[in-house]
Amino acid sequence: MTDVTATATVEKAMVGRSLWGDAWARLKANRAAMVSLIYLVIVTIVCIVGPYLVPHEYTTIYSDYVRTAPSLSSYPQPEMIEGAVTEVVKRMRVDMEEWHQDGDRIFMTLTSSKKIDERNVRYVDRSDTFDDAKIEEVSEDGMRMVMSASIKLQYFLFGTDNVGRDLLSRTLMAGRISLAIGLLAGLVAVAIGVVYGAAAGFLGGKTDEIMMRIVDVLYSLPFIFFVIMLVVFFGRNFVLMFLAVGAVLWLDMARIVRGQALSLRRQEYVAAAEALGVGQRGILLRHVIPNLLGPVVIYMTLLIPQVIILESFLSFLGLGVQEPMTSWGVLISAGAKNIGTANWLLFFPAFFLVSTLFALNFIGDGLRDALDPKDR
Amino acid sequence: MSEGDPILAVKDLRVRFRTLDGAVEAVKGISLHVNAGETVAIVGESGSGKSQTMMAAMRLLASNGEATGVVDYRGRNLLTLGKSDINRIRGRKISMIFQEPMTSLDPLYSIGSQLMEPIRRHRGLSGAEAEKEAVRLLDLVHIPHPQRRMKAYPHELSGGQRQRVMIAMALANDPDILIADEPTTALDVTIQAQILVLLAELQERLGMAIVFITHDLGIVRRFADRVYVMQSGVVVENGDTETIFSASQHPYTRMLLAAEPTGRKAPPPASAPILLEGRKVEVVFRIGGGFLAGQPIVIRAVDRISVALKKGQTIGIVGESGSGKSTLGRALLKLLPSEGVIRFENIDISKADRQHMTPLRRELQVVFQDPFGSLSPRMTVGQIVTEGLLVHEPSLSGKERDRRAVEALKEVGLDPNARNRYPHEFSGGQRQRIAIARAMILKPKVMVLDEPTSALDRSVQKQIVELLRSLQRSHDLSYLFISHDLAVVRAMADYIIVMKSGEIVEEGPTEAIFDHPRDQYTQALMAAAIDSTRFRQVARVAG
Repeated sequence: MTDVTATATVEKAMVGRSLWGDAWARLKANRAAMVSLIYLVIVTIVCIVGPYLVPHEYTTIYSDYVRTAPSLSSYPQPEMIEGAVTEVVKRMRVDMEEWHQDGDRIFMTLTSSKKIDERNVRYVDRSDTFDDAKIEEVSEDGMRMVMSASIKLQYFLFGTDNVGRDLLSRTLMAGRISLAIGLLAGLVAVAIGVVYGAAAGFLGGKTDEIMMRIVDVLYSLPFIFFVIMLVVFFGRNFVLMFLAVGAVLWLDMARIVRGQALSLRRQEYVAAAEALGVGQRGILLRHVIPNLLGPVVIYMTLLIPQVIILESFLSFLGLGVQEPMTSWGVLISAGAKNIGTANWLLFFPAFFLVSTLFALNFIGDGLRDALDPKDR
Repeated sequence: MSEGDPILAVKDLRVRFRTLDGAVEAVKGISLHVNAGETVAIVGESGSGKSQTMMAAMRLLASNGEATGVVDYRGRNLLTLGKSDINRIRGRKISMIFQEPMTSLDPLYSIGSQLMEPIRRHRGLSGAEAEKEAVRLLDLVHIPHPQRRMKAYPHELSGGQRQRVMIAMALANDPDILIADEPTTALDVTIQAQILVLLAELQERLGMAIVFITHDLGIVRRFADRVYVMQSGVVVENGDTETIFSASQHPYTRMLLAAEPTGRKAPPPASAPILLEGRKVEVVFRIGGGFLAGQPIVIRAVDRISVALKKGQTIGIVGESGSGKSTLGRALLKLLPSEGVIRFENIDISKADRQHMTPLRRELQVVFQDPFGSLSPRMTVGQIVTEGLLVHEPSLSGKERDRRAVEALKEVGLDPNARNRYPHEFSGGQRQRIAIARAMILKPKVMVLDEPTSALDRSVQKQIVELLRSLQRSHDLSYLFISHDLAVVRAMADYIIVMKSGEIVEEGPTEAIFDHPRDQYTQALMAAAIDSTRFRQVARVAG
C-alpha cells in the first residue's frame, strides 16, 4: 500500500482484473456453488433434450401399465403376460384352449363356436404388451386358430402414473415448463423491477414517493385473488402464468434496486461524474446500472426458485398449466394424492424440484459471497 | 510485579492471510514487549501490519487469518489458550479501543447498559453495584452528568464523548494493558487533544500499560515512552521516543519523520483577476417535514459566506467536521442548490441550470476526499480518466482519447500502461492521483480539493501536496483547498478561511493566521495541532 515511489509500483500489466473477473474467481473457489452450477446445467440439458430420447411420449397412455412401479428391467414381467393374454382374448370374445411362450413370442390357441374372424389380430396389436401379431394356422372350419405375437419390451425407469403414462418423460417435460417459467418470469420480474426501481431511486424526491406508493398498493393485493381474476378474465394459458408470477415478484426487485440506486446516488463517484458535467443518462448507464448488477444477479438466482415454487403452488391449486401439459408442481400434486399406493409418483418430481431449488440457492449464496465487496 | 518487567512479550509473531491470490504474510516475524505501566507506540503507515499484530495477539483476526509465534502474557501464551481462557483475559486484563467510535457502540442499547454488561460479566457484581461502578467510570473519563448520561443512547453523544465511553468500557475491569488502535484518527483535532490528555491522565492514575497504534508521529512524540516503527510487516527500528526522534537510524523512520509537508505558497500578484466569487452564499438543508410530518428541521450549513478566489491563488478552508466547509465547496461549484450570488469569470452562474452549467463544468473541477469512493469500481482507469472528454469533447476518436489519457496519467506521475486496470488494484495515493488526472484532463481553471489528502498516509500526503503544487505552477490553477489538517493547509494555501458552524470566524493570509490567530476558536485549533508539549505533562498539571 505504501507508494513511496508511486510510479514504480504499478507493473507493466496492460490488462486489469475487473470486479467481475474477481467474482468469477471467487465463485470458482466455492465448491458447493460450482457443483450446483454443473448440476443445474445438466438438469437443464436433460430436460430439453431428454423428451426426444425417451421412447415414450409424455401424452401416451399405456392402459396395460397403470401405476407400474419404477424398474430398471423391462416390462412386461413374466407374471404380467398371462393377465395381458387373458385380457386380449376376452376382447376377442373367443375361448382360449392354451397359450405358451416361446422365446420372445407367445402362441395362443383359440377356439370359438363360430368362425373366428381373422381381423381379430388387431386386438392383439392394440394391446400395449404385444406387437407384430400373426395368424400361424387356422383349422379348416375356421373355429380354431393359432395366433402368435411378439412381446413388446418397454422400460419405465420412473414407473407410470395413474392412467399409465410414462413418468420419466412427464418429469422431463414438466422440468422444461418449470424451468422455462422460472427463467422467463424471473426475467420479466427483473426487467420490470430494475427499470422501475432504478428510475425511482435515481430520480428521487416526489417521483420516488409516488412510484414506491404504487408498489405498496400492489403489495397489498392478495396474490391468489389477483391470479384468479386473471384466469377468470383471460382463461387459463401458459403466457398468463409468466405475467401473473412476474407481475407479483417484480415488486421485491423494485424495492431492492431502489435502495441500491439511492445509496449509489450518494457515492462520491456519482458526484464526481456530475462535477464533470455528465448528464443523467450517462450517470445512469455508466455508473448506476453497472454497479447495480451484482445484487440483481444475486437476487435473480434466488427469485427463480421462488417463481418455480409459486408456479407449483398455482398448479397444485389447479390454476396453473393444464393436462396433458404438466409441470413439477402438477406432478407433485398428483403424487401427493397417491403417496400411500404409488410413492414414486411423488418421489421423482419432488427430487427434481428440490434438487434444482437447492442448486439455485447454492449458486445464489455463492454469487452473494463472490460479489460481496466486503472482502476487498 | 515490579515496574519494568515485560507483562506482554511478542516473539516471532507471523500473521498470514489466505486470499485468492495465495497466502499473504501481513506480519513477518516481529518481536516486541510491553512493560507494566509504560506507553508503547507502534507506528507505521497503512498496510504495515501494525493493527494486525495486536489483533493477532488478541486472537481477533479475520477468519482467513492465522498467527504463529508466541504472545506471552504473564507466562501464558495467548495464541494457544482455550476459548474460555482467552475470553477471561481479553476485555478484562487486556482491553482495546478502536478507531471508529461511531460503530464500536451498539446503537440499540443505552451506554449505561453497555457499560454495565462487561462489569457484571467479569466481576460478578449485582445490578445496583454495577450501575454505581458505571457511573464512577463515566465520571472518570469526564463525561458531564454521568448519572443522567447512563440512559443516553450512542447517537445522542458526540464523537469525542463516544470515544470517552469506549475508554470507560475498556477500563471497566481495571486492565493491565490498554490497546488503543488509532483512537483519535476519526476525531477533530481539538477533540483528539482532549482524548489524548484523558488517556495520559488515566494512565497516571490507574497505572496500566498503553499500546498505542498510530500513523501520527506527532502523537507518538508527545505521548509514548518507547516506539516500534513497522514497515511491511517487520519492525525496522525501535527504541526510546527521544532517541528515535533525535537520532533515527533507519531510512524509513527518517522518511516518516520528514513526511510533514513543507514549503509555503506565495500569494498571487495583487493584480490577479478574480476567477470564482461567492457573495453571501447560503445553503440550507431541510430534514423531514412534508405531508403529515410537521415542520422540517432546518439546518443552515453555510450561512451567508463570501469568498473571492483569484487566478493562481489557493484558499484554504479550515474547520472541524460539520463546520460546513465541504458544503461551501460544493455550493460554489453548483453541485448543491444555494442562495446568494456565485460568479465565475464575472458571469453570474447562480441561476444557471444543468444545461447552462455543462460547458462551465470543464473549467470547475473537484477532487474528493475518499480515493476509494470517488472512483467507480466497475470502470477501468482509462475509462474513468476520459469520462469528462466524452461530455466536453464528444468528437474525439477513441484513439485520441486514449492518447489524452496517457498524457494525463503521466502528468500525475502514474504509469500510463496501467490504464486498463481497475481502481481496486491501486493504493490510496495512486487512486488519488487517478482522481486528479480525471480533473486535469479537462484543463480546468479552478479546482475544489475537498480533503484530498485526509485519507492518505503522511508520506503519500506529502507527494500529493507536491503534485498539486507543481500542477498549479505549470497550469496557473486556482485551488479551493478544504481540509481539517492544518499542516497540509499551511503548505498549500496562501489565504485561509476558518469556518465554524457554517460561518467564517476568521480569515486572512496564511502566515498571519498561523502566527497571530485572533479568534479563540482558531487559537484552540492551532494549539491542538501545533502544540508540542507532552500530554503527560499536561495531564500531570491537570491531575
